[in-house]
This record gives sequence, structure tokens and C-alpha cells, in this order.
Amino acid sequence: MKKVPILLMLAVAMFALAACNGGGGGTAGGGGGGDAYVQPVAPGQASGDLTVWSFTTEAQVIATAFQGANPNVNLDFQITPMEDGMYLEWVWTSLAVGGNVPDIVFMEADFVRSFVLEPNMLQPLTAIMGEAASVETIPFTIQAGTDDAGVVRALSYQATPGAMFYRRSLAQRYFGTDDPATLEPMFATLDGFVENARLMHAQSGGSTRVVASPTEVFRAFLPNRTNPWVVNDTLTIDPLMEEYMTFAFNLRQEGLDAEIGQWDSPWFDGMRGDVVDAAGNPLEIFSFFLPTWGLPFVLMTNAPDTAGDWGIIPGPLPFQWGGTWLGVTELANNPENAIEFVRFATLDEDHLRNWATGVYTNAFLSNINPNIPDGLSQDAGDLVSSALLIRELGPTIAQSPAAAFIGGQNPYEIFGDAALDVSFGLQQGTDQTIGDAFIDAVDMYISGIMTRDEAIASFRGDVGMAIPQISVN
Amino acid sequence: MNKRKSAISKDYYGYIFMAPFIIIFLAFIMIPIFNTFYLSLTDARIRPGTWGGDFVGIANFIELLGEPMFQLAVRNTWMLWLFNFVPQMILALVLAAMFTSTTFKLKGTGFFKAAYYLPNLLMPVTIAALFQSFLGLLGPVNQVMVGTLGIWDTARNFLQNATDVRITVIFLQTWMWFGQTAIVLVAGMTAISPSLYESAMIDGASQAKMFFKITIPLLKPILLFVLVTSLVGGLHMFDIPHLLAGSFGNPGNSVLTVNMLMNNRRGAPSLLLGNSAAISVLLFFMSSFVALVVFRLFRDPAEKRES
Repeated sequence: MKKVPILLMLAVAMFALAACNGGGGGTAGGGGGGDAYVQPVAPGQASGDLTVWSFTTEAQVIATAFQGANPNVNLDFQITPMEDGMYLEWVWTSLAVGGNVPDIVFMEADFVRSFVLEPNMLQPLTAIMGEAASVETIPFTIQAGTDDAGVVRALSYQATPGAMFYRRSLAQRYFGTDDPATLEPMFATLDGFVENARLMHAQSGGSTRVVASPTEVFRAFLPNRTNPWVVNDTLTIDPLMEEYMTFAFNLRQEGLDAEIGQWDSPWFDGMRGDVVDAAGNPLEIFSFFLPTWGLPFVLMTNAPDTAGDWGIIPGPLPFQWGGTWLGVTELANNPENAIEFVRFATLDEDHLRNWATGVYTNAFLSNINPNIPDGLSQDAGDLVSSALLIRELGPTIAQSPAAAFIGGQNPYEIFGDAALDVSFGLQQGTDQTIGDAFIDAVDMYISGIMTRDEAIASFRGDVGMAIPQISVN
Repeated sequence: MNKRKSAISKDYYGYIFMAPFIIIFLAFIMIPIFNTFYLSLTDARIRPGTWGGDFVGIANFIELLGEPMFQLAVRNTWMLWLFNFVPQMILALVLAAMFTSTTFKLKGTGFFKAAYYLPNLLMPVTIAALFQSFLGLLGPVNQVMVGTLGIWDTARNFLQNATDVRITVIFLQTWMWFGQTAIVLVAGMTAISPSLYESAMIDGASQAKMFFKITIPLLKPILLFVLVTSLVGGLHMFDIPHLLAGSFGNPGNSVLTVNMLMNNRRGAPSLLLGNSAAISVLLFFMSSFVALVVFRLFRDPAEKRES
């Protein structure tokens, strides 16, 4: 009789064990790639469930707008922060274990390639690619979502090309003009960039530096390589990366950069024009390499008093930074709704127009779903991924505060052109980790604690440590 | 009849009251631990639609033990812990002795205890960010040393110097934990009967003599507790070095700890569950072994004789 409770306890423990395993095995076979592409439901006709996972509230604006267009859909929106890889861990583990899986995942530029290239991760979006052609989706945003077999598995609603933001007052002082048309050819090559950096440095007695740090220009080198980081599972250092090491080293040797890291507090001080070096002498930073979102979220937010003192030129190399993609998971329980969601978010003309022109105010969104967080809204000015709409909306954006902030230049036109030059083809799923290791190594090299060879060895060591799948020798 | 029945069924109550703990313990602690041991013997990698991997025996362990980066991480971890533990312990012992001393009769100990404990309440993220900007090339330290005082000619790049980064991590660990350790030691010291000190004083013992002959020996169980908890915590050191020096612990992997290595292997893009599980199993054996050695060393001589 006394054994009964123990047996009971064991039974409960077995149940707990079984529950853990059961959840895993059940749905594992669910993802059946196949050639038949899932077709989306007709626009506005989504009904039933749809689960959307993201890491930004931006996605919630889209999800709410989708609910507005599809009143019968029962949308479950979940947000997990990016910090410490929490979102990635959550998505990867859920898709490995099955059971509670999202229909839609949002992806950052840093890891979109790893999702797109992973077998059995995302469904083909072939059914909606016809519409992408008609809204003229910016090529690099499609490139980012295309796997090695040429199948598109992720799309974006925005394009995030970068440009060189310069201080007009400093340009006026050293070059006698702040006109972007005159400055553009002066900074169009790396040699011109360094030459004019030297000129400013000499004329200012060392107080004016061309950029905060060479790391900022690193992002512009990346898309212009010939080889990706990993070729046949082996780490490859492209000649352009070697060139970057030399470029960064010379910049630092000659004192042409301000030795200020991105996102450090002096970086923001530099935008406001009130940063001093360790000895207390003022430092001035001529330019910042920022993408589309850098204008509203970095410059306008952190240096509001410098409105009108900024100009944009393409800089020495075309580049892009950030951006958000969406895809439908292979294990999705509601693939028809999910594909319609992707179509709506990334290709629907009305939605993209609303997105870019500030229609999605908090009042508009809470009218659709009263439970959205306070302050959720989308301001005007984000560069959408449709070249068709970029042309159409250009004149509207020319009147926006963003345009006034950059001295009357039209960010839509400039970035719209820049977006067409950007390539995403060389990016791989492992790029963020490898890029971080490379930046660390170059920092050690240019700050003088390692020789060039030591830094490259350290880079190889770091990559091999973090991603043992890659051969580093 | 009724009475007898209720008397019997009371036997079950204990199990029922224990059940929530046992279930949660099994589901969230024991099963994951066994799962980790199992995974460490496989080549599991996180993939959509699959869970687990092929059995590879002890291949992960052989690979890891022969890997210079793993050896470096183990050395770093031990060094960072040891150099933070010794000063932390000395500082905490001195402070605790002063707090409890009957001769000093310090005023406002409550305030000091709270003040010393304060760094422990701050988030590691906050502390790392604070020191990153504090020690930055244009940060306050350099501004004062180069600008205001003019002692240094050029700014010191603390975060690009392996020794400086190590010292910073060690300092932060000490600074965050000495208050906590001091409070635990104070609790241990107040439990020592004052009559021992009184009689020692009557016999003419000095403060130092009383500290070494009464306080320390009677504090042994508490010292053991502090040592073991600090050891286990220290071997799992992750957040401060990771936040201060990035996921590779640069420059020169000088503050790469075992836990950081594991985090690199487990997280995207490598997602190597088997390999990272093997790292945590090795960490588990390392801490268990050292904890056992410490327990043996601290064992009461009387107990030793019995066994």
C-alpha cells in the first residue's frame, strides 16, 4: 500500500517526460518542401488563424494594418527581443522542436541569409513573385531572400541603402561649397576620400576628421567584394578586405579618423558637433555613413539642433545597412494566410503607400485593434522596396521634415537611386559573426597591439572558435 | 472507522505537498541535465524539423580537450576567478570583522552594508556600458589624466589592451561581489558567541589574535559556503566579459571564458548543440571536482578521524 504514492509520483514523472518528447516528434515530419507552391488567399479574404513572430514593433504596425484589410483573420502577434540572440534562439528551437510554430517570421539583414539558405526553413514565395515584378521590387531586397537554387523565400517592404551624410558647414569651410553635386565626385573614390580627408585634417590643424572610425566605411566595402567570406566551407579573405585593412590602417596612422566607435556616446556627441578629445580640444567629424533609417532614427533623434546642416552624397562605395525581411515557415499551419500576409506587407501598393506616407497613425491603428501598445505608429519617410512607388512618392517626401533636415535634398530620390546600385549577393548566413571578428581584428591591428599577420591569425582563430563548421586555414 | 481512515490517508499528504517541487524539479532541472549529458554525446545541431543528432560517443570531448581555444578559455576563466576571489575575500573579511567588532563599535554599519551591496543590484549590462564609456578613449578617465591633470601625454586605449581588459573584468567582479560576501560573513561572525571574545579579551588576546584564533576557525562553514558558491559562479562567468569585450573576448581572446565559448557554439549561426553540451558537461565536471576537493580540505579534523 505504501508503494502507491511512489508509483504515482513515478507515473507523473513519466508523463512529464513523455510530454516533452511527444511535443517534439509529432510535427517534425510536417514540412514537406515539394514543387507545388502554396497560393495565397485572395486579398482581404484571410480567415482563420495566423501567427506572426517578430522582434520589432514595426512588424506590429504591419500586422495591425493586415487585420484592418482582413477583418476575419484571427492574428496572433508575438514579439521577442533581439538582445542576446533571444529571438533567434526562440525561432530556431521552435522550428526544430515543432508544435508551437510561427506562420510568419521577421528577419533582420544580419541573419536573413541563414534562414533563406537553411533547408526546410522557409517556403517558396513563387506564387507572388509576379506582383513583385509589377511593383518593381528593388533587386537587392529580392537577392537577399533568394536561395542558391534561385527560389525566393523572403521579401522586404523596405530598402535600406546607405549614403555618406556630411556636415554642410564643414564642407563650406574647407571646400568653399556645400553643394552635393560638387562634393559627390570629390568623395566618389577611396583615393579621393583619403585625399580630401588629409586636406581637412591639415587645414584644421588636426581637429576635423573625415569619419568617426574606419569601421563605418567597412560596411561600404562589404557588398563590393568579389568573393564571399566562405567559399567551399573555407574562410576566404577577399582582396578588397585586405584593401580595407590597409585603408583603415592608413586612416588611423595619419590621424584622419576620430577613433570613436559606432553607438558609443561620443559618436552621438560628434553628430551634435560637441565632442572633445582626451586633452580637451574640440573634434569635428565631417561625415557619417548611415542608411535610410539613420536619418530619422539616428541623426534627427540625436542631433535635432543640426537640422539643415546635413547633406547626402553616395560616398566612395555603394552599400546598405539593416532592413527587415519576412518569410513563411515550412512548418506553417496556415500557409495560405501567411503568403497573403507577405504579399500584403511587401508588395501591396496601397499598403506600401500608407506605410511610406504616415497614414498608419496610432489613431488609425487603434481603430483596427484597440489593444495595440500606446504610441505604436509609423512615421512618413521610410524608403519602401518598390521602385514604382519610390518614383510616385518622391514629390511628397520632398516636403517632409526629413528633406529639410538634409538641406532640402530629397532622401527618396537619392536613396532610391542608391538602392539600385546595392548588391546583396555575397552575403551569407555567417556574415555577422565573421564581420564582427574581422572588425575586432582590424581594430587590434590599427590600434597597434598586433601586426597585420597576427591580426589575421586572430581573425581566423575567432571564426574557427565561433563557427567550427568553417575551415579557417 | 472514520477516524482510522483519515489517519491512514494522512500518509499521502507529504507526497502531495512535495509533488509540485518534485515535478518541477524533474521537468525543468533533472531532465534538462540528463538531456545535456545525452546531447554531449551526439553531433546534434539545431535544424528546422529535426531534434537531436547521431550518437558520436566521446568525440566532442576529445575534440574540445585538444582545442587550443578551449584550453585558453579554461585558463582565462580560472585566472579571472582567482584574481577576483582573493582580493574580494580579503576585503570582505576585513569589512565583516570591522562591522562585527565589539571594540570598534562602528556607527552607521547599515548604511555601509547597503552601499557596499549596491553594485550587486545593478544590472551587468549597465555596469559594462558604464565602464565601457568610462574607460573609452574619450571617456572621463582619459579626459582627467590627459586633459585636466596632464599626467599622461596621450589617451590610453584601455579596451584595446589585453591586460587592461582583464584587470577591468577582475575589478568589476570584485566590486560587484565583495558587498554580498561581506554580508554573508557578517552573518557568520555574529553567530559566534560573544562570550568567546570576552574571555579571550580577559586573557589579554589582541584583536588580530582573536580574529585568527576565534573568528576564522568558527567561520569555516561559512567560508566554505562562500568559496563554493563563488567558485561555481566564477566558473560560469559570462556577462561582464561578454558585454565588455564582445563575444570573442578580444583583444587577443584575453577574457574569453568557457561560458562565452559555449554561447558562441550554441547560438546562431553555428547552432552546435552537441558541441556546446559537451562544453557544459566539462564545466560541470570541473566545478564538481574542485568543489569536492574544497570540501575535503575544509573537513573537520574530527570528522576525518571517524571515517
